[in-house]
Amino acid sequence: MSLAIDAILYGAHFDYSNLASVCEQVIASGASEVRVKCVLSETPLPALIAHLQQRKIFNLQTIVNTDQAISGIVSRKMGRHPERTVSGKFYLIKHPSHQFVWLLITDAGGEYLKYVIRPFLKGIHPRITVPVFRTPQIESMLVSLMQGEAVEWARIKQVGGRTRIHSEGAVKRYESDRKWTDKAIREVFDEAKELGQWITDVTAEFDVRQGGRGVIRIGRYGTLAFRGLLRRVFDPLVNQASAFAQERYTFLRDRARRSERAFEPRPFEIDFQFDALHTTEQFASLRTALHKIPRTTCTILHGNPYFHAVLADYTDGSVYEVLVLEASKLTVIPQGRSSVRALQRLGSYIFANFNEGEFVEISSV
Amino acid sequence: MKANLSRSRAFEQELREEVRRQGDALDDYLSSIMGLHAFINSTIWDVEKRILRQESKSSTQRRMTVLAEDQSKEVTPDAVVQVNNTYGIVVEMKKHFDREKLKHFDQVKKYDADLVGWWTQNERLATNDLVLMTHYISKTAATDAYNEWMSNGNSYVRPFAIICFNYSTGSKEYFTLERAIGSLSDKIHDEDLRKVKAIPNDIIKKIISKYKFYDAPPPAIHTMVLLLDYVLPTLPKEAEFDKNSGQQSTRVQLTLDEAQDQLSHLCPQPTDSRDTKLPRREWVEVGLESLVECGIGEKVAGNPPKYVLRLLTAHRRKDTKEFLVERFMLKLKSDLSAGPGGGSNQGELFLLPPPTPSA
Repeated sequence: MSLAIDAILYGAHFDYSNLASVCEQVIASGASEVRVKCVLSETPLPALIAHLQQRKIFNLQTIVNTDQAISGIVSRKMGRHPERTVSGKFYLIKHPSHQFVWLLITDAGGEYLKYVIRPFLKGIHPRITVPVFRTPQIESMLVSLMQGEAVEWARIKQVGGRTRIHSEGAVKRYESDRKWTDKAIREVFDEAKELGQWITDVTAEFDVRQGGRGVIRIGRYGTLAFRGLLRRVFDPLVNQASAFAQERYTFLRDRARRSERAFEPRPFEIDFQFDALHTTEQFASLRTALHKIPRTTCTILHGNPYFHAVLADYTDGSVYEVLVLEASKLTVIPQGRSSVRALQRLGSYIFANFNEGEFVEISSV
Repeated sequence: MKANLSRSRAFEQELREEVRRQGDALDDYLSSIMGLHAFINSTIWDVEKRILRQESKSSTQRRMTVLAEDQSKEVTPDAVVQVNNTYGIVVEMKKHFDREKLKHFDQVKKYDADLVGWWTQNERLATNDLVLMTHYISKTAATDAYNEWMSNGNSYVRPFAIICFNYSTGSKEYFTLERAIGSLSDKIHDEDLRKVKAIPNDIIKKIISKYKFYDAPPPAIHTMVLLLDYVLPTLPKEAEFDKNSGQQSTRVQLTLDEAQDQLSHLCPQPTDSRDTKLPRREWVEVGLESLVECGIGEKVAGNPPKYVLRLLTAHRRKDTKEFLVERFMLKLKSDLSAGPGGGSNQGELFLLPPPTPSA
């Protein structure tokens, strides 16, 4: 069974146009699930990954290696007593219409993505970026799917979310929640909005009009998983996810300060669409969220009545300022080197530890 | 210096107090920049056309010449605004009005003269106003001091006004300007300021993002934070961060001129030879020497000498300002406990207020 999957998914080069049918064949051959992870890179990934073969803790054997795609086995030795090896295969292909989006496909389990693929990709230089799907984007993907011709009905079966803890004296900033349910898409997302919850992952079951059932799971950090029938839903969902990923990447790129003296910064705003920054507690919460970003210093230059901080990201030397002049918006002013990855990291930490908001362009100041 | 020196409760309290004091000094400097540029924008705003006047010029780093019969003298007001070819304003900034309050008006009096250095063919202007800017909290102190100065028999020949700046709070924050006393020649602008004028937040964002210095010596902590947070992280290539995964300190080497050049990206650029290059070399030197004093690097002799500074990674510190004050105080404590001559520092350097600006 596994040999069949190996031959179909990892053994030979195929175009993106065949990806849906390849994934369907993989499911038909006995795989419980096919996972697709969006990653973003301006540099072609096959060459970068092939270059990583020398790394000590990972072992990589490439099977397919072209300009547009690479497949192979990555394994990692973990633990000491006893030592074990987590291993799995992947196929990485460039999206044909979204130039910075690459799709990593695997039939391996979540452990493989978490403990092998994620740290493996982290070692790539120039570094890659993983998109963050905000709650409205996850909702939009599911609603579009429901409104398409292929799907007859869809119900949410499982949903994971997080809610901020407002209780005085609480050490934790938010609580996690997982529900096994059977509700309509709108119902679940309306409830989340009411509770001020952001969705981390959602699993939906759907019936295809021509007959048959499928299951999809959308994760906040750019992961899609498919089970059962997938051909009619695969393309629309992957395309929409890729479009969201590309849109964010394009929005954040090219904001670094260049060397010329007449520097015009390209700031942007995170719009929370409500007064998220009005009370002392809210500002304290923002400060905590900013201080939580790993390997990043946050120096508060002014705390009240307006908020002004400078953040230096020591993963790549990016520097940017965070400014609050209005209760509903946070302005990010890139200074010096400001990589997409660093700005994306800022966004995802603010969304996860403070509040979700929307990236909005503002006129050059 | 070891970070594990015993830290009494008194030391912790002293540390918190010093962090607050340094924070205030830093804030005073940054809000003075904001006040000056907000006033410049307000002055050159064409109310009828609703655009910034194209013909206007301004500078926060300009040397002007006072023509006198016996000897010409150079002065450096905190800001100079030329609205058009016939009218301009000279601005002095005094955020606080507690000490030597009457001297501030004497300082402004130096600009109450035929100044040369405007952006006209003969560098002169038909008329100019005089403005003293202060924070809203000092409004009453400033107006009282002005009345006292006047009652001592002093006066200005040119129109003079005290303009206050403030940040008003609400669901939307606004930077405001208010004319407290006196008047300006531009009556429309003067009336707007009398009624308290709000400066759009887009202008404030522009000021904050682009200007970190004006022609007054900053507190050393300001230059140190800029060097550590804005300059040093951008010097190594991205690949070097990957090599050490952000865990180890990378050493960065730079000369005084290189540091000045890097910091000049955060300043208004000189438009001609009358504009001083900011930040001034001596301010950068104070910043670099203070970093060395805090044990963040060393000065290597040579021609020119180089500063080898450690790019301290984020796991070593969170808030750079607090980190620097703590390092300095621990160093000070260590030097004092070593007795007279036991340490290189006996309580000097960056905790001292900056030297007073030259007029």
